[in-house]
Amino acid sequence: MFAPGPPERVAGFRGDRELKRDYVAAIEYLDVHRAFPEAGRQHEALSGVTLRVERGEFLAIAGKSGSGKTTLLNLACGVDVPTAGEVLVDGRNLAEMSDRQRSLLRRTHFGIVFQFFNLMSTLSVEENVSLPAQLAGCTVRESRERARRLLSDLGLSGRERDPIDRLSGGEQQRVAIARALINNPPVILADEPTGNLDSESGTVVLQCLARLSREQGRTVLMVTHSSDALEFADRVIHLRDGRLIAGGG
Amino acid sequence: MLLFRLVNAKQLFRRPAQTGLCLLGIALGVGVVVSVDMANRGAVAALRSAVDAVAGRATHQMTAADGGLIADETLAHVLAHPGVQAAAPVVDEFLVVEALGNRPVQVLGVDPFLERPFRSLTFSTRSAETGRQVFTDLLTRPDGVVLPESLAARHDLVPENSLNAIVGARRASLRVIALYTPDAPRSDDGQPLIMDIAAAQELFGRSSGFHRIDLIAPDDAAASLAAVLGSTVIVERSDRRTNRVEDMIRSFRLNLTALSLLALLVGAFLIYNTLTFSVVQRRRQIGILRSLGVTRAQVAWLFVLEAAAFGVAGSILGLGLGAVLSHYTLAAVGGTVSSLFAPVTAEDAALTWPTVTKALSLGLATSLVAAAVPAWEAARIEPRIALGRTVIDERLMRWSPGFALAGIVLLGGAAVLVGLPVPSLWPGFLSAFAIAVGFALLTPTLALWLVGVLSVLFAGVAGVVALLGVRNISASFSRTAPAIAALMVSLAMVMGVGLMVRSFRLSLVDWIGATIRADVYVSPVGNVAGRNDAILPPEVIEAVRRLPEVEAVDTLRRRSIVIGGQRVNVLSANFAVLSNRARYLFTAGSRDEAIRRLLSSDAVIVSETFSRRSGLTLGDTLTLDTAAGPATFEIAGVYRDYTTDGGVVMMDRSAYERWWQDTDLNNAAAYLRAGADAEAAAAALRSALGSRYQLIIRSNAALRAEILRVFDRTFRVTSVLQFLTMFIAVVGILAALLALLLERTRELATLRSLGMTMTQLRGMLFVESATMGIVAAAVGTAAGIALAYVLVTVINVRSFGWTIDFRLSAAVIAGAWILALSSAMVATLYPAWRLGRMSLAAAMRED
Ligand SMILES: Nc1ncnc2c1ncn2[C@@H]1O[C@H](COP(=O)(O)OP(=O)(O)O)[C@@H](O)[C@H]1O
Ligand SMILES: [Mg+2]
Repeated sequence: MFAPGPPERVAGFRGDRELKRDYVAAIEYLDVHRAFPEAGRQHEALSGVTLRVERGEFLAIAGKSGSGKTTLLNLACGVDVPTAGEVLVDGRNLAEMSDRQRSLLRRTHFGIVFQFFNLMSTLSVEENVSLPAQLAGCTVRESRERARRLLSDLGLSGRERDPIDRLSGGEQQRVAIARALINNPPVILADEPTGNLDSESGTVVLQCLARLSREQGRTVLMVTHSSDALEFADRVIHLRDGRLIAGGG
Repeated sequence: MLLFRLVNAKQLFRRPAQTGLCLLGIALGVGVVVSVDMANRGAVAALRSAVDAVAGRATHQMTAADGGLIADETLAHVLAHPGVQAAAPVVDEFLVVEALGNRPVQVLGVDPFLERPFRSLTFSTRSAETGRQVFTDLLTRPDGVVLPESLAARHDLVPENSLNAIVGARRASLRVIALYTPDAPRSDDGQPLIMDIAAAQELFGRSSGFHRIDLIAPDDAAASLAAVLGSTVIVERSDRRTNRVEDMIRSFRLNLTALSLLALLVGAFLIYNTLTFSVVQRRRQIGILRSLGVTRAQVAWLFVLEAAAFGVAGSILGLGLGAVLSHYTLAAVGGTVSSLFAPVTAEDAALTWPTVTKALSLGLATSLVAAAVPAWEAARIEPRIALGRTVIDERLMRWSPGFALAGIVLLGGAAVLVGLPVPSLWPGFLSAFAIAVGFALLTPTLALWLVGVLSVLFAGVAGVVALLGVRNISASFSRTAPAIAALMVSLAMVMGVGLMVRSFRLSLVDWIGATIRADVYVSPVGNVAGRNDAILPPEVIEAVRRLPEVEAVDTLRRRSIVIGGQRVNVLSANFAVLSNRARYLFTAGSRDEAIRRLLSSDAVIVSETFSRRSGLTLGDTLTLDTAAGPATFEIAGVYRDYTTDGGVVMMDRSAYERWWQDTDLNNAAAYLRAGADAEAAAAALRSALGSRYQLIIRSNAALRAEILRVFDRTFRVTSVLQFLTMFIAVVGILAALLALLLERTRELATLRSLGMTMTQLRGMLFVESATMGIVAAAVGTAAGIALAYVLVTVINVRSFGWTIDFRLSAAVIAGAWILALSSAMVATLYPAWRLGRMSLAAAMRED
């Protein structure tokens, strides 16, 4: 179960990093609502969320199951669209983009890491990682080289040609991170990346994500259940029944 | 039943497209079988009624052995013969009537009083006359004809209308004195005009002779009558005549039925596909049920029940569909029967209980057989919550070498069957079936092999999107392999039949090129198969000879004789004229040598159908009953002949006239001087003779076109079946792809969330389905060629006795490939469209 940390740490930024608020936000939610039809009525998964995610920030989203965390991530990358309100990515309104433009945005601007890894079982490790690069029109050779480099950075050298089901959960999640990074996106979205891992592998994955933010300046948006994971974030916000209850700067 | 509702019912309604496609597949399969069945029955009924309309209530019919006329005095012998209860002479002619669309119509000349026991007709006239009065009128009015009511109605004719007719050498005016309706409703073409026999003889310029004498007599009386009259006449039971007609089209019907069963095979695949898909979808649910104590047998039953539900519902739909389709197949089959055997107008057949029973049991049996593997797979699910994917895909991959081996064994068996030297059609059908199944069993291995090759290729060059496309095939192998096999079988059928028809047509074109060499052909109306009494008046032949551009005239005389109980056509032609003009295609003997012998001695050449049937060939001798007694002829050659499936014995005119003392002629063929225009010569003849004689004058080009037109009409029914089979195959591949996509919803949504555009997704789906299409087309090409070979060299030869040169036609094969790839493309449209409409967020939540 989630145990909230001390309010001052949850609400503010860590003192060691200065984030510039005058820039356009990486992602901005403006009074966002998302309703789903449920048993004949509309059920609001998100009701009136306003949230700024700064560039380079490592933001953790906490909340109980069903509180709307995944929906929030989906809205950021245009996998889902709000029923009301606006989502801006680098100041651009996702609602004004075509499906194709949103696909291109997901491909180049976002790297996505899922709880259940969602790797392609028919592809090898290296092929999985190079997939988004090739979707973006990169040559086979070049995408393969980039994949190899990323895999060795993540400690997976020598596993390039393995089939996916030969890897442990932790390894699979690292492959997923490599896949998320292949197009060098400025924003990483991670939906409970440690939810399916033992704590040791989970820590490795979290360290990876932290490094992406600290060392490479990427924006990381992570949904999590675990209090350990919150330690790695710059800022934590809480969702309850589709509303932001703390930290929604 | 709670179990069924829990597991099956919800699923069926949750996936309406899936369920709908499965039902459609079975309905189409059953529908094709039903429609072919109904069309076959309709064609037989039409043929039978055409025969019955002619035969009336006669128990026996007497005809002249030579296919000509029975002498008048024979009638007296017949009537006086003990045991004969009734006998009626009939003149059976053709007449061109302006008001009946200027087409030849059949006219029966009957003796009104002798005829009465044979037909009960209901007459309608302008005044309220009785049947007796109509008969009296017929006797007293030589221009009087009685028309079938339906025919009259169609052409707006009523009693007392007068008709302009062309009869032989002159025009004649006839008067409708009454209309009749036959005692049983029959097809229109079976209903002749009726007139008085003496009037008919006069009208057709004969003073005597009948085409046949109808008899009502016990068998022994008929037999003794035949014995008394000797070899000049043939007495035959009427029902034998009907049976002979049915025999003629039996092998044709058998061919159609075999084709229609292939369509059902594809329907079976759809059930398999749908059920396997539901097993995959319901794994978790079944696992839970098993842990709650549901037995394996109960789980298997659930799927058997589902298959039965599909089978029954699909068959009922199929019955309706078949009834609708039968309208078209019947028209096509009727066309074929008309061109091959006898002119018929088939009326829509009604759905009968035997057909209904057959359709339901076929539909149900097919469904249950198709359910076997999925039900077994479901029963194997362990009693725990099954999260993993089905293992059947892997198992199928491991088994595919075994399948391939079985396939090779079957193909070997097919080769052995083809070689069996028996006249029956069954080895041919069995080997065709073995070819279809054998190649289907080879398909998985070949598919895996191609997927392997393409994987290597794509991994290096085309990249991961294409790679995903091909690898999906092996990842869902238990679904894709049968889909490929089903498409392969359909393509093989389309190619096999297409190549056979093509080979046949090309052989026919060759034959036409060699045989139809004269520039203008002249024949009398009524010169139809089995009728040798339509004579070309000598002055017509003179007129042809006198035409300035004519260089030489060949004439043809046709007569039937009976050899070993079979009617055989004896043809005679002027081989002196033909020798350096026509090139008969000899299958035994050399042309020059044969013609030399024909001109110099009592020699004949025989058609290959005759040779095959009699067992006689080059160098054998043949004894024929001539007018001057039995005579022995040497067989100087065997030649190809597509004009009739009866046998033909051909000799030179000089030999014929010597042995038969007969100078009548049936046809003339004029060869023009170099540079002369055939159309112009035909037109000149038409204007010179057309108004006085009832002639058909055709240029070479017109006759060739007519022969090919008849051929194409004959094979239209196969195109209808080919089209239906392909349609079912497209439904099959569509259903398979749709199932695969639904199964992979989450995976595809993941790809989309990684930034795959709809265009890329469509590309991936297309690579997947095009690969399936390519495998199916490649294996289908091999299977299709093998099938065509069996059709051409075994089934066709044994059905009709004709040799066809086996030809590979690039157009037919390319057509099938285009069909395969375009149906693969079409099949991706709907699934891609559905995916495009689906919310990604929702798809990601799918398990
Ligand atoms: N596609 C959908 N259709 C219907 N309801 C949905 C859908 N996605 C989410 N929901 C509902 O919205 C609420 C929030 O879901 P989600 O964002 O997945 O929660 P979390 O990730 O915090 O567990 C839940 O009640 C869930 O049932
Ligand atoms: Mg969630």
